[in-house]
Amino acid sequence: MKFLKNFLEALTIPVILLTIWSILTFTGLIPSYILPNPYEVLIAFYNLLITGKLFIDATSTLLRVVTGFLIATAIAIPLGVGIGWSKTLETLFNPIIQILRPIPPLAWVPFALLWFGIGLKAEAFIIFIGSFFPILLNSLDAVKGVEKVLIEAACTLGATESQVLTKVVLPASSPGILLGLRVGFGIGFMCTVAAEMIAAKSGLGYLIMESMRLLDTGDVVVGMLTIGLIGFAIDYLLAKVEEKYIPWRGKTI
Amino acid sequence: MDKKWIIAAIIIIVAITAAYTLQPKTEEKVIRVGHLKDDHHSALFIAQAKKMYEKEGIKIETIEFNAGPDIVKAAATGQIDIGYCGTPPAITGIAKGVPIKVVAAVNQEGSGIVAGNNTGIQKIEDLKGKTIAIPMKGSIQDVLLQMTLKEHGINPEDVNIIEMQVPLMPKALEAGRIDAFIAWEPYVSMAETKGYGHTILYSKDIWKDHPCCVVIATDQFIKEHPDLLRKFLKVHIEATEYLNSHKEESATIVAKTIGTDPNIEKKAFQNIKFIAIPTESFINNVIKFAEIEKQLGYIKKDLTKDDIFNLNYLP
Amino acid sequence: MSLKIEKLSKKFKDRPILKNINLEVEDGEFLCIVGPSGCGKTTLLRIIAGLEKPTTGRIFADNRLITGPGADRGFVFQQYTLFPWRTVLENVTFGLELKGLKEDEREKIAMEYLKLVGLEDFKDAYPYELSGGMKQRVAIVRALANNPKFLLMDEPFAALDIQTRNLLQKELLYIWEKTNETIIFVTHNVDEAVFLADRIVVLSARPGRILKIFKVEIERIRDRLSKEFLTLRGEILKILEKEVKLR
Repeated sequence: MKFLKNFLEALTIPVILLTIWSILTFTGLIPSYILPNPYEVLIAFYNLLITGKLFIDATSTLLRVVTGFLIATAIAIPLGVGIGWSKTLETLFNPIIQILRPIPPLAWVPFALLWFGIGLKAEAFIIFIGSFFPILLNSLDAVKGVEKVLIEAACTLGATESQVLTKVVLPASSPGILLGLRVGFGIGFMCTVAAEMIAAKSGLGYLIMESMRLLDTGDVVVGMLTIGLIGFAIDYLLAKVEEKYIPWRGKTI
Repeated sequence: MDKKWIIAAIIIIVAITAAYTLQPKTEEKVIRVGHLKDDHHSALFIAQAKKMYEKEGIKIETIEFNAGPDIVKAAATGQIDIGYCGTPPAITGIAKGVPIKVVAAVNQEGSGIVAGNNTGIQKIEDLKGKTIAIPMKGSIQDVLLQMTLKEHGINPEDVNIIEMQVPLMPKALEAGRIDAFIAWEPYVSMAETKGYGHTILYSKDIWKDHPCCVVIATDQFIKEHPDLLRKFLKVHIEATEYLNSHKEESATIVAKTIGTDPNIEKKAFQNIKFIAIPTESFINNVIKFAEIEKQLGYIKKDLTKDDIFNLNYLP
Repeated sequence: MSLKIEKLSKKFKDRPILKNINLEVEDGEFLCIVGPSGCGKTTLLRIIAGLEKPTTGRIFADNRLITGPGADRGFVFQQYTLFPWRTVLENVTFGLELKGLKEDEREKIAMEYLKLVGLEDFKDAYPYELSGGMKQRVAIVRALANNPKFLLMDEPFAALDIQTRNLLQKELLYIWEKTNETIIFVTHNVDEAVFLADRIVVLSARPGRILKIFKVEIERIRDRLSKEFLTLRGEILKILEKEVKLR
């Protein structure tokens, strides 16, 4: 019963938006080449689904996002943990991180093209850039933020430096690292539009850009909503993983 | 205490906004013209450089966009009155119900297929199995490419056709990431002059006199300021004539305006035909182009001459 | 097995904290250190634990010079330091895990200690599910299960309410009698010191130096209202009052 109530509550704002949207478009206040009405969006969705194009675009996008994201994870977590743990590494890497971090992934597009050519490598690279810094910085902060007293307790129980790292610092930073993964994935996913500008032939970002050029606003909306829904679904999954494996997160020691 | 300040601030903001928007429009209407950083739109640049608008007694404001569809969108939302853009986005917009019309021509031809110097591509047949970049699906370049491939008996599926932003094409060609590209000037001349590519076919060799860019105007602007439109088009014709009779000087001016090398620009001008008053063949070619777009599935409507054109404001 | 502190001083950025501490701790004794706030008693304990270094002087544990922390000197902190990602049992077996003991061996030892404090039913609970008193018991048992030669305790009951504190004091004595640990216990609560200790070291105000060492010969379990208890308590309090007035 409570679940139903929460579910209905969650629907209120979308329903309000849907109503406003319908009124604006069905009455012609906003022409369809600027914003399609909900019916057009449904038709566009149906067509994209039936022809299989939506499925191809979605899997195409997911492939490059997951590839870029996994590579970013594999590099950013160890690097972030290392920098958080070792002052030497921090001094070494900090300047270049601070310089590269503010550069938006879109700005890397010409480089991706030149270094990797066209295809999955270049696209995954853009996603990689998007995911990398949130994962790196969250891991770094998580390691630095481990309470000193936990490390001291481990030392008085006989832990060596490497044991402290593996048995205390890593588990203690896992909530922060997981948060970095969630944020990193989200941002990497958003970069798919930029990534697919490099001569992609399919993908949700590509779908949106193509349809925008052809003023197929129905397809644009379907593309946007699909990106939103997939992003939401994956973040939800990651949140559930966190709940299961880190039940103690956020609760005081 | 705080509440009073917030209410006062709101009232002030509303008052200022109201005063601004309700201002009686006693000043002269400034014509807002959208365009690209493209030497096809040289008539606009020459007219500005030679102060032709002032002589005619009208004021214009130019707004630069990144792509034709953006200009059509700006026209759709009333942000511009007139636009210089390619035929395809204009047709797409009209087919979708955007309230615009083509009121004049801008140029014909002016594109080319460039192959990288190390690719061994000398003719169209050599494109089989290679990678060629086009600006976007449904563009003139896309249609021209499809046409020439068919003519030479090549199945488009045998060629790796990809879309790419035109400014990225020269670098991509140089780095060997693509084997060829088809784009508009000055990128074609640039590749030759800078020595990393050679032209295997000019667009005029594929479809002689093919239409390229046009002048569009919003229905609202046509309705509310027909006199200004007439004057604007008079300048447009004058500027186009100047372009055709003073090629070298114009190329230099345009090079300065859009920031390209004057030598490259002079070469590019050899490849562009500037035309302001659409000839019978221009009009028919545009209609033919719209038919091709429908065949390729980019638009869903059949367009007639009156759907597309409103040439009543040309002298 | 004993602890020997020789001529120990500690300065932190030119501010003297401890001055010329000389002390020997007997094997198996329960030693309390009391002193006014800021006298450096926690710092002294942390130096013994190896978590901080002295400016001058040395400490020997069993004739071995102390240079850093180690499993021979277990520590119970004032704050809660259980590892939140480990269950109670996993916390208690932490030190044993480090030593490389096998799982069933570890569990056996840990359960014995958990029984000592009556928490065997909570072995699979997480720290966030426990009350403050329970957490400190687990912390004590975690340190003990590691079989350290010395158990160092830094005001471990300060954050708890009176009833829990009194209960845990009694439990601590019970554990101490059973295991024969050498315990060094820091507190600002004179009552607590008199209740627990064999000897009480009284430190001066900062910089801390040893003012007096009392031997407590009252039989346990000590009556907090008895004449001997109150007399000793009074003496210590008088010394401390003077220290505070002087500042």
